[in-house]
Amino acid sequence: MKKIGKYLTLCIVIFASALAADAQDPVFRAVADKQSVAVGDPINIKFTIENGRGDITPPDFSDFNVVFGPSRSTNFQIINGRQSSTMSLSYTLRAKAEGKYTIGSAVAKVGSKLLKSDPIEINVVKGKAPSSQNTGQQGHSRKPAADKNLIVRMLLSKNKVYQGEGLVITFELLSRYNNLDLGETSFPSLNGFWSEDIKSGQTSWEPDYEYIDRVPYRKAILRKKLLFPQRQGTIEIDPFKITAQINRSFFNAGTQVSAQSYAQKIEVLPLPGGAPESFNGAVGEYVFSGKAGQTEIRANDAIDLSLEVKGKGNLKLIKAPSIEFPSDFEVYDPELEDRISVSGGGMSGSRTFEYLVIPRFPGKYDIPEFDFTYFSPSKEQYVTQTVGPFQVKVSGEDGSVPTEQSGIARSRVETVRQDIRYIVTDQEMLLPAGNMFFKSFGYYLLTIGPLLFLTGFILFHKKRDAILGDVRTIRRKKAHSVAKKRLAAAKKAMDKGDSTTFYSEIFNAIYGFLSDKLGAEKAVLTKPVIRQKLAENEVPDHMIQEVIYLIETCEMARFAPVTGQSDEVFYGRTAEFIEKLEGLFK
Amino acid sequence: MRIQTFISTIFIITFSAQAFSTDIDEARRSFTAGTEAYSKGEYQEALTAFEEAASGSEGFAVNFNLGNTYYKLNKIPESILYLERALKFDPANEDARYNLRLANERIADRIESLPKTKFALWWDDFRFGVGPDGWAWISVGFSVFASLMFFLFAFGKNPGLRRFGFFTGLICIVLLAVTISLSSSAEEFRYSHVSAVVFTDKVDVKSEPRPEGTDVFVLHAGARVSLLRSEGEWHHIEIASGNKGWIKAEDLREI
Repeated sequence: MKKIGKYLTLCIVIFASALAADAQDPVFRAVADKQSVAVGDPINIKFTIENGRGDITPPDFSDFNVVFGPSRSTNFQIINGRQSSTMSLSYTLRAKAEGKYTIGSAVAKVGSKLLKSDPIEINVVKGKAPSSQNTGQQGHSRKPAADKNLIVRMLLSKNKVYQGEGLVITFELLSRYNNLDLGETSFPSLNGFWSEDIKSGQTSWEPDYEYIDRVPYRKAILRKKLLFPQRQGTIEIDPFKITAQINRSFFNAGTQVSAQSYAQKIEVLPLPGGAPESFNGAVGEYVFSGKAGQTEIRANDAIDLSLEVKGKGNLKLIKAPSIEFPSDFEVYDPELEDRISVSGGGMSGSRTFEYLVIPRFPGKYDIPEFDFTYFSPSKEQYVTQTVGPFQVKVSGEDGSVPTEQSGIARSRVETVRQDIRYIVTDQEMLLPAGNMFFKSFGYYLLTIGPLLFLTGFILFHKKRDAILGDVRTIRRKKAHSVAKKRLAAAKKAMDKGDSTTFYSEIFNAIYGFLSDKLGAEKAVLTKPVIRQKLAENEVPDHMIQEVIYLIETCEMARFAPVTGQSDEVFYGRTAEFIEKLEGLFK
Repeated sequence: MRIQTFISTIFIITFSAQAFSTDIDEARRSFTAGTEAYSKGEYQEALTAFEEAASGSEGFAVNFNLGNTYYKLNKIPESILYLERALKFDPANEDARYNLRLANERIADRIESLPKTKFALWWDDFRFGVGPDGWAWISVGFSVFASLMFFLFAFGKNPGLRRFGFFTGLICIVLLAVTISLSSSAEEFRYSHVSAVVFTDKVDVKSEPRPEGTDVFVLHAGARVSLLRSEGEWHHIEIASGNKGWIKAEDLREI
């Protein structure tokens, strides 16, 4: 623009025709302000006729978009009496794609002459081109078209938000053109956001002007959206582009102009860790409430349970809180009812979840309390609100099982979720490690010990029996001779006439003999014992009576003299008895 | 003289039990701390406590609780290992079998095996439930009873009593032999390692005991295998479906 300014030192249009006669030979030139540009950057082409006036036919610009132009300027000057005039036609172009392009020759008809300009080669590169020649421009490389008369902007209410926190994006158009006809508008795709239109439809100019560098612009809001970022990290919003026709009328096709906004970046912060289990992505400021319609009903009647989330934030993204209804309840998916308004301030209103629950069996049930957790960006923390528990009393006569459920056992216990059984808590169940009784010394002792002990005991007993048995045998064998000795002593006493000694010797002979033969001590040999033992030894009855008679006679003789029989006879009976018994025991 | 030896032996047994009792007291304290931590959901702390308890004791409870804690900590192969060990102490325990089933549902391998019948369970419980010491005490009982019966036989007053003593004594001797062998088999069931759990995430089971062997099949962490024999660091294993192969000892932990 400043270049044009150089030529415009003096501009005298009125004298142009009068002074034309003195003109030099006309020259026709084509000039581009850059040889190398980036795709999308503008390039100015100027066709100039010096020293003459004429019609300029521009070449084909099919490889480029004409952003601005053609604009004509005429220049007439007199310097030191010499007059010169220039006439130019300029275009602002933008390359469509990268590559090398040639702008063909333009043809100028000056009077009767046809003049041709040289072709211009333009190198279009990808991305940023060296912009050294843009001396007067702002340094911002993303600066789109240089047309200051038309500006588009994307404005964000916040640049830094939490995931799920709302922000407003506004697409604005600022224009100095009066007669502007909007053409193609390409809004950027808003990937990574859940968006909600705040304002759309008819676009109209705002009543007030907006000043940029003290230049007034008319402003129109093309679109306004509420955005909820759905992922964390930096999300970039592509530039927003617009093309429009200016000065379009019935007679005039108008001129196409276009504008492009800056790209925008939004930093989306992740939600802090440690979210409660009930957190389901709600971000904002909410109040959670719930109510159960009827809590005392009959079986198979429905209960309405409505939960309301009211407040500001990403209301439309709120999911129903998970409620663990008793398994005897038939639960239908909740119905949503939204009363949500979307405005520049965000999304506000309420969302209601209407549960329809049908208890199938009578009884008292608890619908447990349930939590709703949201993240509050202003407090930067999670807030949990709890509703419930609700107690439901279901009445109904026994056997009111619904017929359509006949296939299901009435009291089937439904496992809602599987988990392992609980641990053992009884510490007495611990056993000392490596302290096994089996195969220990004590074990061997206690298993083999009793048997060994018994064997030893039996052996010991047997041996003692054997010894005792021997003594008895000897005594039994000697019994006869011992008795004979006693009888001999008795005979001696009888010969002497000592009756008392006689009977006592007889008594001892009988007793000693019986004691030795029967293997029993004299002390235990009472008359009944003698009777029994002899009977056991199969001694005939008359002999038992004989021995009893002999013993009784001896006993009586101690106290009174024996009458009725002589000592010789008694001696003879005793000797005979001992011989007989000896014979029986052989 | 004999009585004296007997009494002194009893004393030795009781005193040796006394020596162990300090260890077991410590284990019981750790165990209680573990159950408390577990009830609060502090599974990491519970794990440490139960492991301490396991170092000083054994039995169903400590292995079962370790299995549960590992399950809660999402370490399924360890959980399976300890639950299997718990079943060695109480083979028919319903809770342990249930938990083991849940743990087995969370591992990669599904090896088909026949479910145990009620009778098989009862039989296992009968044979191994009381453990080697249980059978050992029962055999002591039979030994004492047999001795009493033979005493009757030897010194019985009338012939009927003596006959009764003789035959009952004989039966007791047979039962004594049976219970000793049961005790021995219970000991083997509890303390010998006949199976193992795979601990490596993925193991190629080889056809022969060397790394170049053909891969016969693939096992994943948590799979239970039977140990057939070993050769160096290789184990010959069999899985419940009957497939056999060789696996490195470092990939296994014995139950």
